[in-house]
Amino acid sequence: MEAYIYDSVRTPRGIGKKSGGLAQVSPVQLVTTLLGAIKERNGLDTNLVEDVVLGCVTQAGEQGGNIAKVAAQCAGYGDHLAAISLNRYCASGLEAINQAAARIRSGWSDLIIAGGVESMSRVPMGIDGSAWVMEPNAAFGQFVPQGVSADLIASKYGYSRNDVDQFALMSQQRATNARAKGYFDKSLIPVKDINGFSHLDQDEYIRPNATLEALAGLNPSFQKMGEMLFDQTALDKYIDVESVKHVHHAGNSSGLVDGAGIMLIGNKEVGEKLGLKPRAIIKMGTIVGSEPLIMLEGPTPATQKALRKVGMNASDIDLYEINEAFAVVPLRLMENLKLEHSKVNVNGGAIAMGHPLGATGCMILGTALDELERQDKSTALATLCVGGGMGIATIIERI
Amino acid sequence: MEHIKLTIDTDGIAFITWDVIDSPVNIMNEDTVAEFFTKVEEAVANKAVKGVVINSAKNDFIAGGDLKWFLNYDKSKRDCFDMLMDTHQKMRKMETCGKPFVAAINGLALGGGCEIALACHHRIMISNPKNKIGLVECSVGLFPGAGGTQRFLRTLGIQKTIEYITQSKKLTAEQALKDGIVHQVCTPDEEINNLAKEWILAQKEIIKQPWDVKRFQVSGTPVGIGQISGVNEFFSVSNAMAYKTTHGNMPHIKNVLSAIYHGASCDIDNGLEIETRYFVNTLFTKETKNIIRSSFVFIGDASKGKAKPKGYSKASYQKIGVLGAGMMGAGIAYVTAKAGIDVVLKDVTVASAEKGKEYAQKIEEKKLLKKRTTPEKKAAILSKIQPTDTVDQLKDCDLIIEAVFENEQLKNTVTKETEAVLRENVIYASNTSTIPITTLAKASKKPEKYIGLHFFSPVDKMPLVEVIVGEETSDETLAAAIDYVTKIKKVPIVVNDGRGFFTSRVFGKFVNEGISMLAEGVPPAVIENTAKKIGMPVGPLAISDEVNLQLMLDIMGEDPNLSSFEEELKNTIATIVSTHKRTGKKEGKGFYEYPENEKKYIWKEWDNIYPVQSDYNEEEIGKRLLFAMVIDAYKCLETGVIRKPQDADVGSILGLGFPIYTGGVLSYIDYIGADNFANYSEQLYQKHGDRFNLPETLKVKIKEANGGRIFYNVNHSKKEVVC
Repeated sequence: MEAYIYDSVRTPRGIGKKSGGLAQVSPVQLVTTLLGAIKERNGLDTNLVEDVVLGCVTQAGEQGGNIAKVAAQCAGYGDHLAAISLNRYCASGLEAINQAAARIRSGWSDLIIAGGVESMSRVPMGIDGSAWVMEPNAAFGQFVPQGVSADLIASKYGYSRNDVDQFALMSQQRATNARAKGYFDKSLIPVKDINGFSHLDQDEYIRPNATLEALAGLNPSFQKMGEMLFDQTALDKYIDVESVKHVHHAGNSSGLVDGAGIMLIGNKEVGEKLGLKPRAIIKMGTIVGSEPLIMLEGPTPATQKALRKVGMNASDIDLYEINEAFAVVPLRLMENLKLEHSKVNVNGGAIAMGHPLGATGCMILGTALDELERQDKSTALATLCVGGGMGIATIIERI
Repeated sequence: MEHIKLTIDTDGIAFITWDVIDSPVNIMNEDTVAEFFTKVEEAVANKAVKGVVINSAKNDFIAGGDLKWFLNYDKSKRDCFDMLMDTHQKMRKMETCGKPFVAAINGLALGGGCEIALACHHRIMISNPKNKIGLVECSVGLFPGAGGTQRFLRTLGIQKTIEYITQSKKLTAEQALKDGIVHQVCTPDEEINNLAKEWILAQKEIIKQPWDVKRFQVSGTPVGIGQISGVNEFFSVSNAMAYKTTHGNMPHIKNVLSAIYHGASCDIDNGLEIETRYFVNTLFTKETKNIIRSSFVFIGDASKGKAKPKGYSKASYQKIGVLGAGMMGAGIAYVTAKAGIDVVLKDVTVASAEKGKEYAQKIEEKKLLKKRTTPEKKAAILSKIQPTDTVDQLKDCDLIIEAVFENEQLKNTVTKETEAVLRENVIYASNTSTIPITTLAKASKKPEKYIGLHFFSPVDKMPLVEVIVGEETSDETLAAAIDYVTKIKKVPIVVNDGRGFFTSRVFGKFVNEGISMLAEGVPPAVIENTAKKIGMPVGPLAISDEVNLQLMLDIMGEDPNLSSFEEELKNTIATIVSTHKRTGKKEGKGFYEYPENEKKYIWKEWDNIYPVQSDYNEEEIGKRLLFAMVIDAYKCLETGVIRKPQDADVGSILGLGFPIYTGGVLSYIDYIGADNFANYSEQLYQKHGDRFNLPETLKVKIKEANGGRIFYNVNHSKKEVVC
């Protein structure tokens, strides 16, 4: 049995600050907006939807207590609808898709809505705490913040400040171009208030006027905490690195934003019943663990595993979406798999548009699907580095 | 005979008074603690008693637990756990019996003394700059085990608890009052016992500890809420900070963080149990035993002058002469003046001598800025240093310390010139770091009075002094020199004459090994990082740059007894100096580059000069660096350069920064296990040559130990009991 994507929608990404374009909107409202939209534009018989699987990283406050179920209830799909919130850190949104696809493929479910949500303006990252950070036995000599890990990768493999800034600039230019030409419009659902007035209808984090000079002028974000605290932990583990060079900053790391994305995933029969045309097959979803201190090296083994399992080579994939958590992450995968930049993040990424933690995985897969259709290409692979040392990858193929 | 007395006055106030027999301070050990709790039970059971004052008949309150008791603890982990839990129960009884307990803290209340006070409902402390209260156990490899972690946590919150305990902070009465560690401060003139009694009589209701009040919460918790309370960041920072300073080599630090972390989400009784679990684990680690033995016993003994030959009365010093007002001379003059001894600081010109005195002035000014001294004290110290350029000024000195430029001829001239004006029987000491004392003593009329006092730089910070005994140096001279060193509050170790004495010689092996590895193709960053990770303060390449390669080459050139390995190394260094023009920090070009106003970094060309091998073995690199020192230190012991293994351990920890968790350079053998040491040495010998071949006598010792310790074999007959 195959798992098909029938539709994909997302909200625009609002700047994840109290002044941001989606700060007035709760994460539940972000999801209900999308559930309403996907129902309406597909004329969906919601009685057939069995479950909502949502990724959400900071499950505290209004994102706590199984936010997916609250959103499902508010969306008015009916009391039969079940829901689950999951947390695989930054991979949560893609993990939701993979789990839904696996259930469809196994035959245990027929139709699932999967995706993710994160309101970083309203539920700040990290407020849920973590044993990994706090508990001495877990943290001592083992934990460094992600930014230090990213800088460690750059130091270990010799990516310069200019390398990461160049990549960041490209992300801005590509995102600016894609937004201007309407490449995102197919999936983009404006977020509206109770009167139907728009809160936000386009990604607002992009900086079209970014320049290399401006990027070069930004102060590294993780230097102070690194030198005061965490660099030593990194160097004790990676003794071949003389010192951690802190190259990442606000302009070449992913932005904090608000947003949500969902997909309608089902088997062949349910699509026929609903009269929907499948847009793509979810061919493979993989997850791997990787060394937790350097943390962000998971995309390479996850991608290799996915390709191996479907018998493909890296060059067989038409488009890659590699989450731009930090510029060094896509650079590293491109180098390891010898990928051409022209196939990678062709419409920019999280450096330009932001990374709403739990939602991003679903969003970038949706972006890849839209772009495959626009370019009339066949296969895409989405991958993300994941907190705690993991990597995730998903391969889709157009019908 | 009793250590602790219970008296009950006519108002029904019980006084439990600590006055440990035959001890200058009140110390907690098996006997005194048991007696204390017997008195507590007696007072609690006595219906006539309204409240209890815990006080001391000595100048101090309670100075803490007896570390030798812990060091020689030979019961099982389970016994230790039960003993501590029993103590907790008894202290909880003090807190919950309904009768108010007051601690009358008249003097130092450290470690266990502080913990007993914390279990009292009310704490009064006499204000006096010398009076301090605090939990200082972490400084000797332990942590508070009588409720200190949990009662601090519930008094101060997480952040200060971690800060105070991991840094072994001692607080004055005023600081303690501000933090709520004490509730009331009085002057030395006030009668603290009366104040304590008054407080008890003023209580109308049954008194409870704050943590026994319903819904009490440790401030900043529950832990589960994470960042909302700041706990997430705080623990994240304290974990990283503690790791950064220990490289994870000190189990007591990680364990105390765990005791605090887990204790924060429990009630007091669960918290105390958590503390006990981690304390027991800590006490039974080799690292903690090593730290207690070396820091408390060995360094403690050495600083008291235990190495002094028997039968000589205490030498006293009114005035000493320091020759040469360079960095070492100036430092020696300063630490001597600080000990209340007059110093004549002589150099060739008055201006240079004055400059030497400025060194003392600068340090004292900094201290004044930080309020660590008073203008009066500063003036008193400075007035003791008298700069001069005339040798006549030295005539009534009791001791001369020569610290002129490291040149044999110059030193000899100075010796003769100075001796000419000195009284009979004055000791003449040289601060030479390289020239044998026996050689220098030849220029003296009284070689039996000639000795070496090898200070370390910076003198005011480095606690060690190597006392170098030449062939003709008399025991009387040695005894008097040790009296001087202890008087200025430094730690003496006795070293017999020999090239590089002890510390410089042994440290040289560490440096040699580092340079040799670079030449083999071990990446320089790996060498430096590994050295720091095993607990050395600085990597061998960075330290070579400080010492200077040209100087190292010169010293090697003077040594007629270089091994073939050292000859080869000398050639390597010669190439580095002459071909690659890398000498050290002074020239801005050594193993590191020294860009102006920027951090130094390793010169990139090494990778090309010594092609990098990627299959290096981290464990082997660390072991080579340490083993090279350990084996040489053993040779020092074997050939009599040092007289006792304790001196090697103390000297290595204080003089070369050898990691204290190992116990020191000779304790290291037992730390990793003598058999294991022998086997690994054999591997290194096969792979890297003679310098790792153990001396026969050591091989024999290891074999004879039959799996046991080879040094400090106190419990040789007893097998370690582990539950």
